[in-house]
Amino acid sequence: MTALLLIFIILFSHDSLASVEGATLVRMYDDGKTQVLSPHIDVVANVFEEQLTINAGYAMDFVTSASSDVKTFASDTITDERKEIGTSVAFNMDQGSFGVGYLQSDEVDYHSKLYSMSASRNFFEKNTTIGLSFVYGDDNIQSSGDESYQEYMTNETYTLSLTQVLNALSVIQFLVDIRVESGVLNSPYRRARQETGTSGVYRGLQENLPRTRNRYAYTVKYNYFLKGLKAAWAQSLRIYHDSWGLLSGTLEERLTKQWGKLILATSLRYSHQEGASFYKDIYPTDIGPFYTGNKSLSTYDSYHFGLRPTFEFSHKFSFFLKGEYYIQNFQNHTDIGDINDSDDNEKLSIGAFIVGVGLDAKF
Amino acid sequence: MFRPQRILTPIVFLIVFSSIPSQAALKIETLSDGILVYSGPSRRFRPLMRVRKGRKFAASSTIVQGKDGDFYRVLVVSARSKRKRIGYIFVDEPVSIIGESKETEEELTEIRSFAQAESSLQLSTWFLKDSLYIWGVGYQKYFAPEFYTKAFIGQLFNKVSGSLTTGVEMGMDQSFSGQFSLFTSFAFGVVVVGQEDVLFPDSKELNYLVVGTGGLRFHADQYASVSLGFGQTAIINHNNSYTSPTVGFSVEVGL
Repeated sequence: MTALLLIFIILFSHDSLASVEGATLVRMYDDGKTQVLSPHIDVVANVFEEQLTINAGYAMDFVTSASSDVKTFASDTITDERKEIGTSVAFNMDQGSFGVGYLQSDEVDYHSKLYSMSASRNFFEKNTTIGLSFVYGDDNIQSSGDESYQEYMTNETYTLSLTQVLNALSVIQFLVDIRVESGVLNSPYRRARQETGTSGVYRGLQENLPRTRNRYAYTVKYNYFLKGLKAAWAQSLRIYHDSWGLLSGTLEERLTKQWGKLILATSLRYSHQEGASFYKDIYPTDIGPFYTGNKSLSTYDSYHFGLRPTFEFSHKFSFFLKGEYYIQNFQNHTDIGDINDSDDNEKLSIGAFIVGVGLDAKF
Repeated sequence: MFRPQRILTPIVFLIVFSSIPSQAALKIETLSDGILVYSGPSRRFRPLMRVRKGRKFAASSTIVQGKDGDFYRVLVVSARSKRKRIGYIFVDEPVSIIGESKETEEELTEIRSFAQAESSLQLSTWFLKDSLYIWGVGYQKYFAPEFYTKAFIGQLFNKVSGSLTTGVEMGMDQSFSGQFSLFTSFAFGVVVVGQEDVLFPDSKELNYLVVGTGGLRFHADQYASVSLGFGQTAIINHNNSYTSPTVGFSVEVGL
């Protein structure tokens, strides 16, 4: 893959009409129980007087986890590896663009293919832009513990956006996302916790989720340039709900300021989620039709702080660092720890550091 | 942004024309790539073609006033069929007068302008998996250049039943070469079925429809176009859904 990317760069950088941009990022997530290392490379070439943009990317995730999900019903630490390749082509025209893309992600037990199409159109001297995009996903789910396990899930995402330049200093954007998932949405590994009738003793049940999920998200983004500070201030509000009864709101603030060759971006994000209607921390013996051990379907608050300094060595080369801290406080998800020891039960709380380093270069 | 050519070219146009003794039409040449020739005197009309730098046209001396600006009335001759038709180029575009044409003003006047109207009638079909298909007829209106909305009504068929479907669609065309454009569209609507569980497990009497397609449109003439697109369809109700890849085909006639 790396060789393909290099060929890609060489081919297009020899075209006098082309400009090629490469970006790399290595990101590390660590919450004390789960570590994820994610290297990523992305190459973009603009050819034919920038009328055509070709993009190719490659990413990997190396996961090591001994989280509560894993330790409750399995004794060992798990490791996993995910590879992702993607490519897209966009035609840039006078008053908009049209693009198609493909993304493939492979793990030992999960294979995903995404096909996308998007278009944008600007009006009124490019002050108003309407965007349409849709993505079709085809997932194949397997189980490393059961070779006969073979399930499928399809998903479709539709996005409609409206961007309006309000004045020389501010831009507002509205986005509506509809995502429809159909097929097997269970994880073959995840267990719901059920009372056994004996106090403090639980059994793990293979989770059973509805076979469809309709998801809706509404986002408004507002960007403003603060003349006094000479800084860009971006904020966004996102409301999400779905057919499983999940409801969440996310507010994000971001401030970016440049001092000579140093650009510093800071961000703050808060999110609150009301869990799925069928989610329970511990299910009673008289269990309903749907049950899950997925903590992301529970009720929680999360906070995210980010800092990203970028050093622009020249207009063709920049280097950036990334430091983030993420807190997730679950209201109705208990970290059982040892399933046979009820004394170590406590509400789950995650605190994670995310650090990254990257390079951007133009040829 | 102020572009001097917007004022200067029409003035030069008139000066040059007044100095020509006969009623010969003028000849103009495009000075950059990607100039759109519209089928009517407004940027809301469907474009006839996108032309490259150096393309020459016979043009009438009379500048046509459209709803959103002034236009050159030009003669477009099909390279293959040699069929002649009238097109319109926005005066803001970079064009230059290079002399007089062998065509006369009268010849340009005689050719009727079959403008693809701001509104049109579109017959469309979407083919889904599991032998489902949807057909519909829609009234389409262009609110801005190459941007339309459409109201449609039709039927969704599967192996056992037919059901009523109606909704709205929005879409955009991007002319990219000659008579071809790339299009993308979103349709939102309802599917009304006589009974439950007909379309998919737990389907209701009232279900919602979302269709996204994109593909290639061929503008057969000023008043007709056909398109072939690929995309996806979701039929959903409160709790359940059906998803499918989709192939779409449409025929459009200007009103």
